[in-house]
Amino acid sequence: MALERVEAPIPGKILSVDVKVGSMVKEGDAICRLESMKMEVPITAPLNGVVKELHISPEQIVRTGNLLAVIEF
Amino acid sequence: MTTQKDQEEQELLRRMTERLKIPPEFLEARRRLKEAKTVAEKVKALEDERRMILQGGGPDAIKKQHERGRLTARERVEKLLDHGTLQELDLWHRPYETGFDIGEERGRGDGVVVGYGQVHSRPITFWAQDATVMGGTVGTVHARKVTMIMKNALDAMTPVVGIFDSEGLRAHDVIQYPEFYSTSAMTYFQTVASGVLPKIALVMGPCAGDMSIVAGLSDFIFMVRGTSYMHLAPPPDGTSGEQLGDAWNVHAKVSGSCDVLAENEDDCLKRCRELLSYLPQNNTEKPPVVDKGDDPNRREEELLEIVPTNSALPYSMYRVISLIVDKGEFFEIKRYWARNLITGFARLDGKTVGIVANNPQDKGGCMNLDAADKMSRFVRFCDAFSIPVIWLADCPAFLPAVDEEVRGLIRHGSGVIYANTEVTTPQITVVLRKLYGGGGLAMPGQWLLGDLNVAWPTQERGLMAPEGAVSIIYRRELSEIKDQGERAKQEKRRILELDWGLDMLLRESTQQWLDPRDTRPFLINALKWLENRKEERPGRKHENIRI
Repeated sequence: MALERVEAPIPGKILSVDVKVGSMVKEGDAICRLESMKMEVPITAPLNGVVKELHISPEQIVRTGNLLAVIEF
Repeated sequence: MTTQKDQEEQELLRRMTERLKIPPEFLEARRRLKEAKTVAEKVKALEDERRMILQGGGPDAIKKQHERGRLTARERVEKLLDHGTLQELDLWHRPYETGFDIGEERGRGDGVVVGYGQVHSRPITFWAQDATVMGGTVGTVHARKVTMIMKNALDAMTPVVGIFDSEGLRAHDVIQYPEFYSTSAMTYFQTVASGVLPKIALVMGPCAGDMSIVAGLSDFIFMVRGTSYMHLAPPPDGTSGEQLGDAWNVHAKVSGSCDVLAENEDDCLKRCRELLSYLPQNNTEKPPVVDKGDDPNRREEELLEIVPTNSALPYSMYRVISLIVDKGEFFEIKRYWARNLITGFARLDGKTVGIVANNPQDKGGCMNLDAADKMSRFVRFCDAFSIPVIWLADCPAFLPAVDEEVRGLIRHGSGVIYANTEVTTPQITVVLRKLYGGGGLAMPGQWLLGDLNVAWPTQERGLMAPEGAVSIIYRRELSEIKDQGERAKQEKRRILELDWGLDMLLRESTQQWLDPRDTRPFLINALKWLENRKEERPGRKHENIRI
């Protein structure tokens, strides 16, 4: 089992968190949605796995590189 | 007396073969070749020897290679080429004697398989490092074989596929490299052939040091997840080469050096064949026309609903692409790197096109430093090999961020505008939704003297959005209004005014408004119009792109 870190690609505000710890995710599934540059930016799972850690909640401001979630695959 | 002569000859032969380290079975085959009375016998002896050489490093080494999840060089080449077209050259070459005991007798072909064959009935030139022979290490003869086959490819004007699987340079051998005829020559031919032949590197095992530069000088680098790795400098203490140069963790996602990430060896070879099917043989030809039987007049109802009118909402650009191109087939380049931009090859009415599209599902589809590099590299390839470029635009702007600017957004941003300006193949931009700020230069269409700039009804474009423009144009006016409520009201009025004003001007200046459902027939018709597009530019030794 290996771990994959999901980090914020750009600065923004968390609009929603779409998974829970333990959720199964497939590549491309949304983990959360960010608001940035007047756009909703979905942050998607880079691969198939299970959400191991979540470090975000709605309304939170994140900066580039902040850890959002960890996926076990 | 004859027996004494025989004995002398036997002794001489024994000493010679010992010095040359020829194994007994090879000696036997050679003796038969030499002593054969008929051509048929000679052929038979040669065949026996060939069979032995084709064993590479022998059964144990082949087994070890298979256990690592890797195929041997010849198995790979056979899968890459059309059945029965493989022609290997320089098979009998062996490493030079070095004075070190490094087992020259096992150095069959000096660890590399070179030759030519066909893919989809079109010729290609290949070389493949044979990891079963001394780890596929690069010796003098190995380097010469690769260099000469590269030169052959340049003369024959065929694509070159190099398969990398080598522990590195063979130190005791290459210490006596004849200068240029070494990895230097490989890099020389890779450079000279750039923009002349499509060059594909399949990194299917280790690829380190000089060889990583040889791979890096290719047009496309394929890597296999889990079994291949690539690094230039030696790994620092506590890090392995596998970690430092991992296909997925490093090159596919982060460094952007991997253009195509394959899931396994078969996938890698299959996708290399697929990529070749989109490309011309060289820069003097047009790409092949492959009729997939898709109707050029196909309209797509789904395209009408795909872009949300709420411009903050993302949608799948991949879906848009798949609905427009022949049979939805899209060969993506650098899928996992700079995902805010999508680049890849597809066909329209059988003809290859390069698609460059913003991806609203990643970073809002903004342009940034990595996306700029990704686009420059891709459109330059398309331009060099007569492939039209189609930009599908939905780009809010270049990403406003301190770290981007500090890392050199201007340097890379200028690079992409340069690359776009240089394109002389047909250039069409379809604006799906947003196109603001520098995005207009990044997705240029007619804006950089290209051909066409058309829009879907959802288009919004300009230097900036009305809110931003009002805050600049009417800053003084607004700041002079003391009452906060009044000021907000005036600001709102100005925004509305500008929004309508810009919108009307935009409507008049756009070349053509498209019903999204007609995008495919429109593009096919436009490309037909532009088929013989030719544009001369001032002569120069070469450009100096901002890198």
